[in-house]
Amino acid sequence: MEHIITANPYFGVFVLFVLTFGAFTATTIIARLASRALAAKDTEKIKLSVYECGPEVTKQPNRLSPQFYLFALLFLLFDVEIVFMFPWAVDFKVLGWFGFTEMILFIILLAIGFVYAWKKGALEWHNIK
Amino acid sequence: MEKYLYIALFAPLVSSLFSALFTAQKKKQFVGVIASLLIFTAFASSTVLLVHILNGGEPIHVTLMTWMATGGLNIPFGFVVDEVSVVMMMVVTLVSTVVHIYSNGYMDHDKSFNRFFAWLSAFVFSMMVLVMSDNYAGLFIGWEGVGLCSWGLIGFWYNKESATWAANEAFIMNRIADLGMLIGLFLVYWNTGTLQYEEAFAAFPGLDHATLVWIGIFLFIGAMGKSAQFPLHTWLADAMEGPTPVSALIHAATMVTAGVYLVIRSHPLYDLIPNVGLFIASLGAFVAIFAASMALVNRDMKRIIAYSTLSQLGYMFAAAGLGAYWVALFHLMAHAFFKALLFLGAGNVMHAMHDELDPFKMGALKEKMKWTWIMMTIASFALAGVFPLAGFYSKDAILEVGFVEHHYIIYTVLLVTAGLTAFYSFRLVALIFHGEDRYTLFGIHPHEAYKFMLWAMSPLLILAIIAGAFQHTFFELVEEALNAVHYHIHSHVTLWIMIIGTQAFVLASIFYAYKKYARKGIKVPDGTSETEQSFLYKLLYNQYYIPYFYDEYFVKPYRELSSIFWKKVDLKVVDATVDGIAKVLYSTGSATRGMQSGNLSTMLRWMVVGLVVLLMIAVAVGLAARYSAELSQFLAGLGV
Amino acid sequence: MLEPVNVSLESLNLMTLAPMLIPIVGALLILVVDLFKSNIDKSLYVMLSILFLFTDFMALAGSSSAFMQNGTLLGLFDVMLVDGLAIVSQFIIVVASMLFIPLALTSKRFHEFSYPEFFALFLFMIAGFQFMVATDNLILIFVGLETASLSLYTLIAMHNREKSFEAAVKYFTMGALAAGFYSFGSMIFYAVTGSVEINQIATVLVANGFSDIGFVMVGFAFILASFAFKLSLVPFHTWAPDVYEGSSAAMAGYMSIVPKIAAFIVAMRFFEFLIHSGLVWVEAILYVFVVVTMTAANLWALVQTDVKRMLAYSSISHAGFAMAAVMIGTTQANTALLLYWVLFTFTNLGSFSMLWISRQKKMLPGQNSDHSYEKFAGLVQSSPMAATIMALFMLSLAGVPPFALFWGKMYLISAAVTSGYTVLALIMALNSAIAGYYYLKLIVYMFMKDPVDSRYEKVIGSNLSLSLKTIIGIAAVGTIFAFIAVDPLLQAIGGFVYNSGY
Repeated sequence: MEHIITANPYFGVFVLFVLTFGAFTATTIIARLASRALAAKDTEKIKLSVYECGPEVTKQPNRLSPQFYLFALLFLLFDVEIVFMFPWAVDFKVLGWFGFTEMILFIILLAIGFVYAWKKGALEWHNIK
Repeated sequence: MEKYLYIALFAPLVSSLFSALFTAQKKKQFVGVIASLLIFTAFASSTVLLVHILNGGEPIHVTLMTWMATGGLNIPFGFVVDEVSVVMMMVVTLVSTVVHIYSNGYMDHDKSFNRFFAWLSAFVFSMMVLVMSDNYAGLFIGWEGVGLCSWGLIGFWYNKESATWAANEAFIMNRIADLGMLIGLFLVYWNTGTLQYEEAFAAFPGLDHATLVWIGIFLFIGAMGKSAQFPLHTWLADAMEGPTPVSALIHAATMVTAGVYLVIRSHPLYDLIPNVGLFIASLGAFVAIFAASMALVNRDMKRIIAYSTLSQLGYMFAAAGLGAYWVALFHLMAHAFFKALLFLGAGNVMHAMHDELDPFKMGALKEKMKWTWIMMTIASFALAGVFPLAGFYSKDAILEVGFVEHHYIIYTVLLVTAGLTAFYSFRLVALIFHGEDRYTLFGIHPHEAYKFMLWAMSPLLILAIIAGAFQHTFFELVEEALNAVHYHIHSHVTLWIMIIGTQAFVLASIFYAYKKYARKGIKVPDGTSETEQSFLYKLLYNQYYIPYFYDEYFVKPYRELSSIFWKKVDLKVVDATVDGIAKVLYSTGSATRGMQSGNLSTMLRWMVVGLVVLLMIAVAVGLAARYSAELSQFLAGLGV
Repeated sequence: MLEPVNVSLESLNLMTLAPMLIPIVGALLILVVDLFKSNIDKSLYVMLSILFLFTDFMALAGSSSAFMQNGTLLGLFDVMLVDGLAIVSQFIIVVASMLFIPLALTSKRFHEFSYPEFFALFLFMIAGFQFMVATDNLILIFVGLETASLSLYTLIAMHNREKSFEAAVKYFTMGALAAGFYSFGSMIFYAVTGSVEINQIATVLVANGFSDIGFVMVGFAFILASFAFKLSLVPFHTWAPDVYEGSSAAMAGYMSIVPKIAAFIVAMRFFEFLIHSGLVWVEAILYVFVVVTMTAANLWALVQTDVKRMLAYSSISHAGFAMAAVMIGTTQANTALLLYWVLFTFTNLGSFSMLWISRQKKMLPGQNSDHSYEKFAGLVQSSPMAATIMALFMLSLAGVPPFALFWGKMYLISAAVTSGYTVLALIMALNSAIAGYYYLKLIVYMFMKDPVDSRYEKVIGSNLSLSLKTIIGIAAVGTIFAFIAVDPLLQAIGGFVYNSGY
């Protein structure tokens, strides 16, 4: 295995992956088997209810509006795009006109997306068309 | 010039496809008009091509595309316009133009008007492919195409039991003959390596005699089916179930002559095997008299004309078999004109008589239908071969061929047939148009056909009269292509005696027919008269009992055999085996379909199972490769 | 101070990018049009999509003539690779899409087509597939694959029935797993060779004589698993019947053609160098996949009671059939695959469109599935034309001469025989025979049985409109007259494939 390690610096990652995979699988199987074997089986009615301890399951009183998810998603989207702009700004001079054009195109695409979200009412609360 | 070739070939196709668009709809007059115009375009292009060839132009040869090229087999879609095919093209397009226009009137009240034109134009296209192809494969495609269209047209009134039966009969009988033809084609390809006419003909002289004989026989079997020669002739008379314009176009002028065309086209082959040629000629002469005798007593107007067609086809084969290909082709052409005319006239009569076909129930129609009477009489004169109409020139030439080639038996048979032809033709004319009106008994009020239908028929009338005058031009046209020679009877005296004798014989027959059937007091036969009791009459009336014989000795035993095979062999052995296999497959399918439970977790699990199996193989392969040295040592230790 | 990067436009060879940019621009345009004027009739979007697809087609024609002059083109820092395979497959993708999009013009109103987003996503998806086939960079393949797949999931869900949501979620989940497989496989190959370009990977692996065979095999296993998912090879096929059932018939037909050809091209690029390097194990594994997929899917198709599910299984079987060509890997086989797929496009799109015209909004009482066999019983009595056309497509799928797929099957089988895979050819022929059984079953239902329920009569053809008729007509003509086109097609495809070295 020696030559593989020297030739491939990422081999370690692979080994880790395999180990993780194995360990994960093993853990879940062991946990399931163990709980099945060790758990005391009680078929009392209240034990079979969801929380096993009495309280009735009720509706969630304070539901989250899907708007939050939408906002979070949009924020994430536009925020992540900024990540591309920092390295570009740092190397602005090196990248020159080519880089500039590329970034302009990128921003135009983003802008279209932004306008789309805006016009569709995604930025307004409770007003999605 | 190639432009005209394409127009002539594809205008009918366009016409057919166009009409086919409207098949499911109500009658549309413009469909008929446009179809007729397109066919007329094809006719005009053919005329241009004819003029080109007549003026000594080179034959036109085009290759449309390669149709099939696998291994050694190379079949291009090629078309040729030479002296022979241009004559056929003229005949086909002229008669089809007339028939298309005529059908506008004839099919006027039919609810499937549009479908009729789709089939009819499709037929013209197939026929054009048949005659224009420059190879046997293309000819065969056209051959099958006309067979298919003929099936569709005979069975055009598909809700009539007898029509569908006749359509199937025609189709199946032609299939039998086509099998022979296919074998012939395979033999040609096997021995010469090509299906192109020119190359095959060039290769024929190098083959041994027996092979050539077999090729000749098998190709002729194909021709026998399409041209309804004995013993495959029964379908033609039954094919009269179709609409009359169809009979005129397909079963008189064009399709049935395809067999003759095949023999003429393959003349370099038949030149090499004169024995087969003699057989063809003898069979032709036999069919000529055989069919004519059946026409003598028949009581169905269309069937009489159909038998007459059969008889004339016999003439053509007699000429072709004796090597006089140009005479055969000339008779084919002249016959197409007057026979189509006769059929269209019969169509007029049928319309007038509300589809009554028995001429004994007609009589004295000449007052009501003057023009039809004139046309049918002239056509019958032409058919009987009376000077100076078209039939005289073509039929006389055939008789001369028989005489000059010293085949006196064939000559005599054909001569007698000429007399019979004259008799039955004028028996028909006399019964329909002369005597006293018998139709009033049946409550029919006849009327003449539409004017434009009569006008449409007029080109045929003119050609039936004057076609003989073109004999010399025609001879020069095909002289080179068919190695044509003049058949001269050396002594002038013999020649004159022959011509005058024949004419006298024919005229006497006509006169006798008139005398016997144009008089007053003819009754509709009811099977009681002395003639009808005679053996000969019964024999002829029942078509020599041949259909009965076929039914008794081929159809019934076949049905018996089929039922035995079905019950014993098929149900118990074949079906059981097939069912068994199907059952096994089916149950495997059912048993394993549990894999598709629709449960997402199950599906994901299956994917992972697949991957894990793959990974296991991968790891195994990797380890095996890694430790191959150790492994082989280990295995060697085990003695493997 | 670093020197400024100087990139000349010529070295970028932007022409290679043009065919993908056109649908993207079209999609953006559709979105923008909708922003400024909403509630425009769907036919405008259909026409816009066709227009852009047609421009795309012309751009492809341009690159194909460039290919014929100069051979394989590279562009955009050698990421884009325009060779014969890319061109032919893009032609198939674009033409199939052009045939699909008019199917939106139905006489009934359907939820998905009222959204312009449907058409925008559709065009994005096409661009994704085009990226997938026109590169040998594993990352760009991945980007293309994901662009296309994510759009496709949404398109399926937009059909707006319970089954469609189910289908979309299933497809999405399993697709995510497959994407994981793919990226993992790519990672291993990168780890082993230090490159993400297939030809580089091949060079490195061949140079070191496959010394890391175990890792190559593991990478291969992952990549194969992901493509087996896309190509619906057994046992990675489980999504296909459910997804086909859940999506609209037209979409199902489309899905059986376009995503698969893209996946086939990538599979060809990836697997063939492995096979040609003499890795018998790769070949053996693919062999098993091919045989199992063909046979098992056929057997399952036999027992279906719903025509659409039957067609779904039959599509799986056809994919297995075509996969055989990838396994054989000769020029002849690859040509045969592309020819097969061209012919399959017409036939399969036609048969799914025939189901699409009989789409019901609501099921009748007692009806279990949308397109049960019973629905088509005695069809010949009520609408002989529809029955005949459907029968035509079935015969073609069964490989009856002279209809389209017969030629495809013939060339594929003869490619197998020429390369010495006689047993495989035999299995393929046998499977065609089994397949004939269930295709004929539908014909028997249509022609020989009496109608089960007279209400079905009204349902058949209820969704028919002129544009659907046109598409079905084109498909039927393509199916019938394929024998004319087979030879020139074969010449053209053969030229493209040969000149790109596959």
